[in-house]
Amino acid sequence: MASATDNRYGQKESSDQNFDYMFKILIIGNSSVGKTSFLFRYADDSFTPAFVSTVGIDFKVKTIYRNDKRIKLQIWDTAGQERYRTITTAYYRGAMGFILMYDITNEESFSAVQDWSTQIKTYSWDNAQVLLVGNKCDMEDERIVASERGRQLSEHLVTVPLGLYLGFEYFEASAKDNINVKQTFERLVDIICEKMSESLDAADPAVTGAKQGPQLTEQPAAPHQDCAC
Amino acid sequence: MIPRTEVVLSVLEELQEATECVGLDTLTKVAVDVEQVLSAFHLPTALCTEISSWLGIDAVAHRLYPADAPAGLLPLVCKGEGNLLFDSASMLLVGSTSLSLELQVRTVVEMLLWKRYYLCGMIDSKVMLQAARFSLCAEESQDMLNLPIQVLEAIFDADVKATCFPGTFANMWHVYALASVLKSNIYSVYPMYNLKIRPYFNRLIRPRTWLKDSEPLTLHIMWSGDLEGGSVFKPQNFVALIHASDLKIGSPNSDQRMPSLKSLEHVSPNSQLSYSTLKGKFNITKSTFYRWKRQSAEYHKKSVARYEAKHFFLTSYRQGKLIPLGQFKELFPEIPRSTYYAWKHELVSTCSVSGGSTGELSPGDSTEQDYWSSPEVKETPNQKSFANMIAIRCEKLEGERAQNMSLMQEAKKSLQNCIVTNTSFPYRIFKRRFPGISRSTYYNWRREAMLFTPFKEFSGSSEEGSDVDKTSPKSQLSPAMLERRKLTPRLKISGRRRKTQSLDYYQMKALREEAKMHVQRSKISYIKFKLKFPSVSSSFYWLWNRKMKKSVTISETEKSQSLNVSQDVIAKIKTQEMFSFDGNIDRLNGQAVCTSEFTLPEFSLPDKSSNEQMFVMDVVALANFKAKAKLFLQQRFEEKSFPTFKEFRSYFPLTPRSTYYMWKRALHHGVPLVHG
Repeated sequence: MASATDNRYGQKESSDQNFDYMFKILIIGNSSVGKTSFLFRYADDSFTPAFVSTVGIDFKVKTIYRNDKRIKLQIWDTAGQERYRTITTAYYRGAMGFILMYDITNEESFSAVQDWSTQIKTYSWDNAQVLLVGNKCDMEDERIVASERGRQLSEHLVTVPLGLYLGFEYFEASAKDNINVKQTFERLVDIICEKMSESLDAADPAVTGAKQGPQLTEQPAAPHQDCAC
Repeated sequence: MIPRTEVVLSVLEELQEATECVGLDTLTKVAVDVEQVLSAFHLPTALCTEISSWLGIDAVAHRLYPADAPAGLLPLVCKGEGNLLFDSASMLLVGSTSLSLELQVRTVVEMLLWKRYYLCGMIDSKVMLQAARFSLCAEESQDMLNLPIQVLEAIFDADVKATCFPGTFANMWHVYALASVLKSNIYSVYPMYNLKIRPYFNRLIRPRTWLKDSEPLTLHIMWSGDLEGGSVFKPQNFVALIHASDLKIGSPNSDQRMPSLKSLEHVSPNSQLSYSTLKGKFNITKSTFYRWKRQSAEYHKKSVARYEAKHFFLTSYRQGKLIPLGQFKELFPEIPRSTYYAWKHELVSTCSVSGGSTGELSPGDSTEQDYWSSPEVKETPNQKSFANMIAIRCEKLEGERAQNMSLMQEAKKSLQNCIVTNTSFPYRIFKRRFPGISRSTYYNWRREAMLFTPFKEFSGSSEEGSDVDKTSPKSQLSPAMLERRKLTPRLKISGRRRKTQSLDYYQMKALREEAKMHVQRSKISYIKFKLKFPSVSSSFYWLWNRKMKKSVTISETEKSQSLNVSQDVIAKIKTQEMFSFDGNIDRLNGQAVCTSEFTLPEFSLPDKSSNEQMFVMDVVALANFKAKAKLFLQQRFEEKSFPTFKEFRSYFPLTPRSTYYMWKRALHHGVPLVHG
């Protein structure tokens, strides 16, 4: 890579960068279920009880080490309000993981989960991984959605047709008390990594084609995106 | 010296670190440094003409390419992540994606340092923000229009941060910033869909600054993507558009070298030239493929030269002089004498065929190909594809390109024949026979054939034939007029014919002009019109009426020929009209349809068993027949059981096929055949 012209593919550079993988993750769910708090807890380990509605869309980056890999997480915090729905779906493309969140003290946010999962199905690529998270589990007194209901729902939700993927994994979490926040993200990263290696192993060279050859080692995320488009 | 790419990578890393901080402040600080660092490197100031990572023509984008975009541009296949804006720009500047990341970094810096300028400072800010709003949805919606600037700013910020990572999805503001980075215009081409929001995306984007002493360069970049339900365009990625004419494909591997991209352009809009696509069809080895590719390029050069010669030959012939062999050889020494004579022979036979046609088509006619290709001249303003058609027809080309071409030609011809014989079949059956032909091509050809076939018998020159369908009402109006127009070039050939014909021509024209004036200026009723101008077809009345309402542009001939009409002339015309059909078969031949358009008041129904020769038939009866046929068609059309030509012919055996199609077209265009 002596000069600019020698380097044919832009993606190659990413191997020289300070991370091995970059995953784009979106947090979605109804307004005020605690998406931004969840992200701030994870990224900055901070919590503010005051509710400030997210304007449109926000973005945080966090680098983690997982299985000896440097993984850069690009976490998009989306606005839950209905009027921003089209904006946020525009950012679904390229996302490899979703945290679909509801508030255990809010029935409506739970009923909306089905709609959100349909959104994912419609606007993201097929291999996107989804975790269902019931937030605010610290507020046990005000709980309306029983854990069991969350679990049952998560098992029935599928984003991929033909049963290739059996349900979402499910967590109850609390951004306020820092319960299951880190675990949620790490589990999601693990699932993405698993899926990635699975599809790499399963990738039939005849199907995926030679064009992906150079990318497999350099940028493991790329084949997924190609398949989806 | 540290290599450029490493510098880019290190500054990118710094930017990425900074994205982890809240807000844009940290990132902006880094951007200031980055700008300093990168100022040491210079960006290309001209477009690259050697595409080193050549992957072919992007067929999807090619199909989506809008008609109002500049001609002669080809979309390039480009591989990468995200939506490829920077990859496309890099392809245009250096012929590969090697500059992508640097462009991306520079664009981030530009967006960070000039954020205010982009959001509210530039002339185009509002347009850009609207585009940003609409890029989040495919159609205009109230929610989107009301999206407050704070939200847009938040999205802008998030987008800037995201652009610090590879595989970014660029938005319209990236395009604006990129234009400034390159100090060039970016012509953003958007397919002809989502028309409400299209103007925000399909536009020339000017840089923030450019070198004042010269006109800025223009990069052409196109939005490509998927069509949902055939009407909603969903942008997926950007595609680089290269100038087909001045491009060479360079590659370290000489096998892949192609002398001129022109040849690719000619292959076809839909067939992508690649080994893999061809392998399936012809079972050839890779080396054979590339050998053919080389050979066909050489042949192509020859055939282009040939075409030029032939074009010149034809043009001069149309202008009324047949260029003598000696002169021809001087101009085109490489064209053999035999070819010259072959062309000459071809021309003479073409002329006689078109002159003597009585309305029945002969599908296998050798001259047909010339007519057939003429609509393409109209469609692609540069005559090169037409060139190729002729050149290839004349030449036995080797190689896949020729095979491809001949396959397409065969397909086209077969489709054409089927339409001529009215046995056209649906696409799925067509596809079985010609798997390589896309649906859009099928429909293009089919449309072409439908438009062109009925008029073929009139066309004295293929160029004239091409404006037949420019305005739909015209096709309803004027077999007569059209036929007149067709006649003009031929008139130049024979002097005597010319005199008599041009006389009626101008007289009738004058009459029509007068009638038209009346219709348009004084808005006379149909009855009055018929009383005043009994010899002018009523279709003109409706046409002119329509035209007034719709303000359709008046046909060229009418515009150019503004004649002073006196009563005297009209009187002359009337007498001329009455006595012009005096058994001059030669003339009637050419005017069969024309004369019948001039409806006369009295009718008598013709006997089916009588002599079916059109020339012998009573003009009056013919007119009546036509009226009945029109009525029949219109009724069936309204009943939604439009008859095929076969069925139609069983009722009206004397109406030419062309007329049937003309009426059919008119009905489909919403022009009624019979009024009241």
